[in-house]
Amino acid sequence: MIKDKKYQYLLLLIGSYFFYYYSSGFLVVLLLFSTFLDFYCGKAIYSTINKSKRKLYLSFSLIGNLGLLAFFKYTNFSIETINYLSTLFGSPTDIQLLNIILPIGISFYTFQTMSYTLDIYWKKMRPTDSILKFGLYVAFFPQLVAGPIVRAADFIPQLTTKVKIHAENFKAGLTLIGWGLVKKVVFADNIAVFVDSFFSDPTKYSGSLPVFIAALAFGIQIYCDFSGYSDIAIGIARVLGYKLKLNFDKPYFTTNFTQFWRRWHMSLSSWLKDYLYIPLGGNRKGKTRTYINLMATMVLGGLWHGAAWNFLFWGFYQGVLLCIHKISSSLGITKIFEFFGKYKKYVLLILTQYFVFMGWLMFRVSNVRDLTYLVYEYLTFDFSNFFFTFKELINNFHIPLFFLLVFVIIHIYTFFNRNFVENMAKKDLFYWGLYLFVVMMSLYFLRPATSIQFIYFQF
Amino acid sequence: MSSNKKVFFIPILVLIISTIAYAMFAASFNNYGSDNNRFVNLLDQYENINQDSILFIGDSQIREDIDCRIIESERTKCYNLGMAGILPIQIALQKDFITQTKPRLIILGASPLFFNEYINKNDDLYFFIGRKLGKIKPDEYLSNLLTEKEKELLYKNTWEKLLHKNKFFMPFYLGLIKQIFSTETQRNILNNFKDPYLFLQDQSFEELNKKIDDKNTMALFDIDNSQNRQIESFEYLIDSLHKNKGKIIIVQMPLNPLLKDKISDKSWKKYHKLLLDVAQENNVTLINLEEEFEEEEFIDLTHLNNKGRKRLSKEFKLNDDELYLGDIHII
Repeated sequence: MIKDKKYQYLLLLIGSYFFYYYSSGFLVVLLLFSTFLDFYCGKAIYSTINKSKRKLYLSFSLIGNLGLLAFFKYTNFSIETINYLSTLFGSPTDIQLLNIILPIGISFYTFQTMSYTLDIYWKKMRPTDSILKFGLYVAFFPQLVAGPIVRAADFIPQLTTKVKIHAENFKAGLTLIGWGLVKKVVFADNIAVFVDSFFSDPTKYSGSLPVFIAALAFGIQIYCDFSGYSDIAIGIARVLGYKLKLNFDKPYFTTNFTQFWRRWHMSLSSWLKDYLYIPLGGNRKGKTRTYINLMATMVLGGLWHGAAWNFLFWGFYQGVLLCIHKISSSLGITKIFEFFGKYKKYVLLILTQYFVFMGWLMFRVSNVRDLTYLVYEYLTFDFSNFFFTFKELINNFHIPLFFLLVFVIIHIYTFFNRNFVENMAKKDLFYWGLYLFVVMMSLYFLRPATSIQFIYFQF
Repeated sequence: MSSNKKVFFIPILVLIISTIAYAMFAASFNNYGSDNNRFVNLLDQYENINQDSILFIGDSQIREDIDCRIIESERTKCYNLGMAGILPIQIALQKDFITQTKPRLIILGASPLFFNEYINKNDDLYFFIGRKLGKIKPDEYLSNLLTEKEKELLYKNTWEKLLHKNKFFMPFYLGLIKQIFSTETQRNILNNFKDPYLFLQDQSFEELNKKIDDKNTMALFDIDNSQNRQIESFEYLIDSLHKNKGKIIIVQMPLNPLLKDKISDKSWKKYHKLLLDVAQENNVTLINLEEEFEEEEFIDLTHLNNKGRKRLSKEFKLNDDELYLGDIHII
């Protein structure tokens, strides 16, 4: 219909802004602000060789973006913390919370725009001359509200040709969208019924078994939810002819914590590595500094997920796990696992995932009392009343647990049959049509009656 | 058609076929789970109720405590329309169905629990009432008492109703599997509107004491913890039924004597005053059976056992088609 690529981009941009306006209303001005700020800061940084001026323009970008993020995301958390600490130290303050709405996707698009100016500042890329292209990069609707966090260097160069829906891209994109929808609507939303009920009162069921199942259930829920959204975003982009990088690569099959973070929310972890960990010195300034950098990166990464103490704990915990892995690797402690011979990787997998899933308990709880209880039960392996509790859980939550089991089986199958979805897109039309039919029937028949919002929208 | 074009055509074809397949399946699916199915049957039952009948309406206390076979006579039929956990607002939404049956007498069972929404979170009932209401909308007063979610469930269009049905598929099929391995036997009360009692085993003294000692359970009996909109719906229901010239009795349903001292006098008084005020305002008879039954006549804290059910039903037994409760001539 529209032949000129400029107008095609314009249409995509208008569509993306409408999409954001539809979900966030007037907060769309923040998106505009961030776009203009970094477009002009990027240009200014590139066009000057004066180091102080370059720093000044960069600081405009960072202060602008981090200021937005700090105000909208962390103001009330800071007020609550001040009130709490002041009460703890005997001189209570009662600062009123502000009526702030967290703009959807702010954590994603501010990180994208910051990476653009930082890359220009570090001379990794040249700025784009087109505000239209830059605007589309920031607001591109498939990944605007929940990622993946796309790098300008990966996306803007793709804006050179006309938008044309090719059969191959359409097929690959739709296959991925279908699988993403099934992960989100069928698995995440059904499992959420158990997760929400359990975490509303974790002490309701005694012993370690319910805690293990809840950790597993939430881990699977958040994976299906977030990787499902990523698949949908990548799939839509693919239909339009754009390639976005993979965001999850079977993280629950990793055998150490470093590997886990290379394969979980890859666009965020690589962002944190490139724009926080390495600028802090990475591993170039000695061992102690490496550990401090790791801890700082993961704590901030934890806080990125939400303004609450549990996210801070979770980030700290992830930092500790990464440090433990680094220390044990450098001391050669991991060699003790050679004892298990050919079963070594399975032992490491179980051990790694045991601690990864313990982290999900921290991520999901709402208060310290519940956290203490859950971690205690998770670590003590109290399986008294195993059969009674198991029966009770099955009676009350047979549907969510059924979906949990089915997903675990599918996940294992697709791990051993890698590129299952990509291969499906390459099948002939009959089998591809059959795949789409199964997807549609699953969405119709197996979705819970009320849809649950994507967890990562709130970040 | 070229292979390239077919790629774009196939998703549309799949969408059409899968939508038709789903719609056909959902349209013919009518298994909503035992409690819900009873409610769906109850809504259908209104069309088959004889004129000039006695209708017992209320929650599980009515369902468990009333045996219509003891009560009814040759000429005057009796129907037990008790539904577990049903709330006044949900009965109020059915008021037109009730009045259309032109009953001789409506007996409405109440207890402090009746006004407490925490007792029943099953909002499927709004969906079922909505299916029966069709395009008829409740009047403004009642509409204002409903939440947005409840309205959404009531006013779904045909396609939305078919889509909503999907939530009952999995429980039904998994329920079937569970049934194969289950040794428990249950009375079938889905279409029983005469003696639809379900509970068979008396709870032990220990079980009852555990409940009584549980603050959360006891809090449900405190009228202060009930919701205003349920009280307003109750008043609206009585007023609406009364305006339709229906003869109504409100019965304070029997409660286990174990409860007596566990709930504050203030709470009891408030509850009694509420019922008395509604009865007086509408010139409706109020019968208090709260303390008329012994501990051994209860299966638990609120429901009568076989012995208690028989005794209570005999209180309502028609003699020569007339009903006396104590000295009061009811019909």
